[in-house]
This record gives sequence, C-alpha cells and structure tokens, in this order.
Amino acid sequence: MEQRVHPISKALKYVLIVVLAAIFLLPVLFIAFTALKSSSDLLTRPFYMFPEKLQWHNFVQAWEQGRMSMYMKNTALIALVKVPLGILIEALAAFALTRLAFKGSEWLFALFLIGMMVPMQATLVPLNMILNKLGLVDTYPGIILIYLGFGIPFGILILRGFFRTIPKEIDEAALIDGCGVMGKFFKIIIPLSMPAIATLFIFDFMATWNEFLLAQIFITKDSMRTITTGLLAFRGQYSANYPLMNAGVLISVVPVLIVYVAFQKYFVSGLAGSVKG
Amino acid sequence: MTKRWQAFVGLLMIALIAAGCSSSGGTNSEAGSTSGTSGTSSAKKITVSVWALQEHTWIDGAAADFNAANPDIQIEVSKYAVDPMKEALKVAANSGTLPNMWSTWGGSLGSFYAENGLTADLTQIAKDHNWPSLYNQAAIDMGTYNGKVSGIPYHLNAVDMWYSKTVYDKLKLTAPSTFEELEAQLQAMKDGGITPLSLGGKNGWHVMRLTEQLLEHFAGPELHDKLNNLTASWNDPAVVQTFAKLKEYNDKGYFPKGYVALDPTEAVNLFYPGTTGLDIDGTWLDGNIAAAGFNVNDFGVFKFPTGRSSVFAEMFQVSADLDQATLEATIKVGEYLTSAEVVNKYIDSYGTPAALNVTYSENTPHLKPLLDMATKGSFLITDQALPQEVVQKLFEAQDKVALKEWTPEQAAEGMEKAAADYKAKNKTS
Repeated sequence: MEQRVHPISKALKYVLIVVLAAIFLLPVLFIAFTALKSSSDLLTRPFYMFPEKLQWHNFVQAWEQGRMSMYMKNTALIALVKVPLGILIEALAAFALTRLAFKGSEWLFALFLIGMMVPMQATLVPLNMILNKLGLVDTYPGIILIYLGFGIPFGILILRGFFRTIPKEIDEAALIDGCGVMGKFFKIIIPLSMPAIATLFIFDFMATWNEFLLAQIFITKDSMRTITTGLLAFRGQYSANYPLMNAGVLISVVPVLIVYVAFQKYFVSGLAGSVKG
Repeated sequence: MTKRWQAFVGLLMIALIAAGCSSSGGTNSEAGSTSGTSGTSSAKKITVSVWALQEHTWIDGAAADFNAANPDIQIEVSKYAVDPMKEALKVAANSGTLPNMWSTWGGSLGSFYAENGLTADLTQIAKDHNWPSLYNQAAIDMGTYNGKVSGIPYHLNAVDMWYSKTVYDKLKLTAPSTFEELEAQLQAMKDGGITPLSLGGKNGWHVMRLTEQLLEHFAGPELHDKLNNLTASWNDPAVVQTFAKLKEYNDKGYFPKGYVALDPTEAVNLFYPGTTGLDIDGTWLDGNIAAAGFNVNDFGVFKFPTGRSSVFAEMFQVSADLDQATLEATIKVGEYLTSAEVVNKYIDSYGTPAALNVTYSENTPHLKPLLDMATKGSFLITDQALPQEVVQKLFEAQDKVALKEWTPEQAAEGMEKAAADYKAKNKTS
C-alpha cells in the first residue's frame, strides 16, 4: 500500500531542496554578476550587488581577447579523442578482468588501481623526460597518452564494477547463439553497460576539460594550449581582469554542461551499478 | 552493431592520427622545436625557444619584428602565468629540458639555476658587448652570482609608497616625511573610516613590503643588509620591534579585514576606488590603475620615511646547454628583446626597463619618480635577498604574528633558527 506523505513534510522537503539549490547556485550567480560588471563597478560596489550597467560585451571581449575559440577547439580535440579512446581501452580491460577467466585477474585489477594512488605531481619530471626523448612534448598525442594513462585506473574501477552486475547466463546464451568473445563484448556487454559508459563519459570529459597541471607543463606553445591554461591570460603578475576572467569561465563551462545534459539520464543508474559487487 | 562499433573504432583511430598530424597546433613551426635543451639548428635556421610571462604582451610584437629582420633565427615564445612559470621551470630544470632562454627574477629566485650550472656564464659577453652602457648596473648585479653574470636584465622595478589623492584630499593630508608623521596619518585614516593599508597577506610577499621597510626603519641600512646576508643574528631587538609594529598595526585594524588570507590583487583593488589609503607597490602600478578604469593622476607616490627603496630585477637567463651557434643566436635575441629600441617601441606595456637611454611614457607618470627615489638608495627586495627557505619562514612569521600564534619575540627566534638551519645545510652540502 502506498504511504501517504503529509503535505507539510512534502512542503518542507521542497523548501530544503530550494535552499540547497540556492546555496549551490549562489557562487555561479556571483560569477555571472562579476562577468557582467565593468572593472570600476566591480571595485567600487560590493561583489554581491547586481551590475550597475550590464556589460554584455565582456563576453565578446573575453572570447576575442582571451582567444577562447582556439583554446576551446584545442581542448575539444583532446577530449573528443581521449575520452572515447580511454573508455574503449578501459572497457576492454574491464571485460577481460570480469569475463575472461584467467589466473591472477584480481591481482591485475589491484595493479591497475595502484595507478590511482600515484600523485600526479610526482610523475612530472620522469614524464617530461620520456616525452622529450620521444619527441612528444607540445604534441597532442603526447598529452593524450598521459591523460589516457591517468584515466585508465578509474575507468576500469567503474566499468569492472558494472560488468560484474551483468549475469553470466547472458554470456552463455550468447555463446550458444554463436557469439565469439569480441561479439559478446560489442553485442552484449557494451549495450547493457550504456549507463556506466555514459557516467564515465561525463566524469572523464569533465576531468579532461578541466585538467590544468599536466597541460601547463607539457603544452608550452600558446597555439596548442587548453582552456584552463588559456584562462590564465586574464591574470597578470600584479593584477587580474576579474570581469573578463569570470566571463571566460562562464563560456568555458558550456561544453561540460552540454555533455552533462546529454548523458544525465544515465548518470544515476550508471553510478549506482558501478559500485555494486 | 559490430559494424557500427568497427566504424566507431576506425573513426577514433583516424581522429588520433589527425591529432598527431596537427600537433603543432596549426603553427608553422619547425619539427622538433620544443622546450628542448638546445635550439633546433638546421643548416640555415636556428630556433630560439623563449619562456616569458603571460603579461609580456610586448614580446609578441618584438619577436615578430626580430623574426622578420633575421631570417636565420626564429624566436619561439611560450608564455606562462607567474606560478605556472616557476613550476614549469623547476620541472624542466630537473628533467634537463629547459628552453634556450627564460624569464626569471634576480636574487635568490634566479640563483637556483645559476648555482646548479644550468645557466650560461655571460660575464665575458657582458664585457665584450659593453652591457654597463646598455643596462642599469644594479639590474646586471642582481643577476650576477659568484661573480658570474647569469642573465640579460629586462626590468628594474622599484617598490615604494603609493597614496590615494582622493583619500588624502578628503582628510587634508600631505605626503609624510617622517615615520611619526606616517604613523599619525595611518591613525587619521582609521579614524576617518578608511582602511589605511591596502595589503594582502596571501603568499606573503605583499605584506613583506611593509615588513622590510619597518625593518629598514628599526635596524638601519647596515644591520638590514647584514640580516639579509645572514651575517647578523635575526634574534635582534630591531627584528622584534619590526614584528611588534606589524602586530600593533594588525591590532589597530590598519589592514583590510581578513588580510592574512587576502590575495594581493584583491587587496590592491580596494586601493583604486579609495576604500584604502595607501599601498606599497611598484613601478608597474600606473598600468594596473589605468587598466582597472581609474585615473593615474588621482594617485601619488612618496618615499617610505627611511633612506632606501626596495628594488628587484627581472631577467632572461640563458641555458648552459647550447652549442656555440645557438648560444650566439640566443644572446642576439636576448639583447634585442631588452634593447632600448624595443623598450621605446613598446614602452606602454613593457614595464620598468632595465635598459638605459629610454623614453618613458606619459601614461606612467609615477615610474620616473619611483626610479629616482631608488637611485638615491636601495636594497634588494627581501624575497630575493634572502634564501627561499628563510623567505618562507618570514612569511610564516608574518602570518603567525597576525594570527596571535607567535609573539614578536618568537617570530624573531623563528627567523634566526631558519637562518641558522640554512647556513648549517649550506656549510655541509
């Protein structure tokens, strides 16, 4: 029997949701206010005040002066190669770990997880030496390879967890129907794992889009820089153009929002499945 | 489904190959010319990689001018913000991948590269090319370590007191000439509802500009120099008085609210509209005032009532790992980028040049008065004069005194211990 929810408790629930949403949205609102102010408006009036006069041209200026189209194109190129390729590699590894019965698969999984424990900062010097020896500094394959390496452990953790929730009986039925190993992977496992893959896509896209440390070390040419390092152009040694910087930040989050909206219907179920078993 | 996946994988591979092919980001650069240890020499062209700061906007035009006039040399500029630059340089130094030439600061910040044999010895070149007639000698000296010139200077910055004329006119004040007068003005501003000092404590260096002037006042020039050279004990009454004065200013509310964690750029933002009365800042502030939409003529400068100003230099250091032809090309590039010709052409965005015989811009009216003050007497700014380990202790001491975790006496003791530890380590290593 369905339990009736008291109208007051229902109203309280909504009030709580609205309050929480407001708390989370407030910083974004202040970023928007700052982005729409002139420098003198920002400096002469409190930051939480609505702009005296809306400076919509800040967005145009940020786009043009900050060369954001170039930085966003570079970041998109890296993310759109790295994220699908990473997920494919991670899915193949997770498939092998969960579906191909071989000795030491648990140990191999633990070995992959060690990758998550290595601090990125500790790898900068050896990675720089390796990339230089291979002639891959200031190349997209160079930075993509590093991103792939750092992303694989997390991807395997998520996908392995989800693959384990798919009943083995389905594999057997596929085998009887004449499916080979790769057929099982592409025809059975991958379609059933779309929620986990979509979740991973969102996480991985966000991480790649927002990555700063590796990009600033391994990409030294301005024409190849990514959006996070490009946004630093608004900040000098002794000064910062906060209105343009905030306008730039708002522009830069649009692709992440689009990816999130596109994949959000899978998000919760993907996350829930990945941590089972 | 399989076909679709095969197509997907195929497309991915094509995209990866395309990414590899377009890895130069569409620029017409030469193969392999990156942050490598030496310039890429081909039969005809030498590529000189230069790492500069993000705000060096003038360098793009200057490099383009140079490239057009020198078909045998190609300048390749990479720009970084301040902290990323420091980080990228340390990584490159440790992995042997420094560029041909990089922007850095004089004193103990640039000494790391010189003392570890990573920079070319430019002493003979400086003599042969008669640098003392081209650059301010103080700027050359600040990039000289153990008698070896290690960098081509491009900036010589002087730091002193800036005041808001709006605030001073409102309170009927004039620039002070004695320390007592300055202190009376700080209180007058506080009483008038204006925060006197526009200083932010985050990262330490902004508040340090007050600390070093207080130390100059209490210790006098001779002891101040000895403290910076670590030849006198930091556990000295003058140091205690300095920290006690910082504490007093903190207790009296002379700094902006929450200044210990306040970013210096945000602290200075309070100065432009007259929310605060005074800032201790450098020759570059005119440009920042104008960029923030305020009038530079609404501000004035005066000498902190001590004998000397704080100064520091910025320079291009040159990699030690270059063959002769690349070294010569790099020096040619460095001397061009720091020349009076480039300075005069880009003076509005160049900053405070180390080059002599330059024409200052009308848009930076306070630059010359500040440099004139420094000419009468100067000391190297503290975070470049002291070893970096001791600098970090000074920043910690400033914060802890403000947060009432340390007494001024404990701060002086902490400084002395850091100096002793550094000397002991340096002696044994």
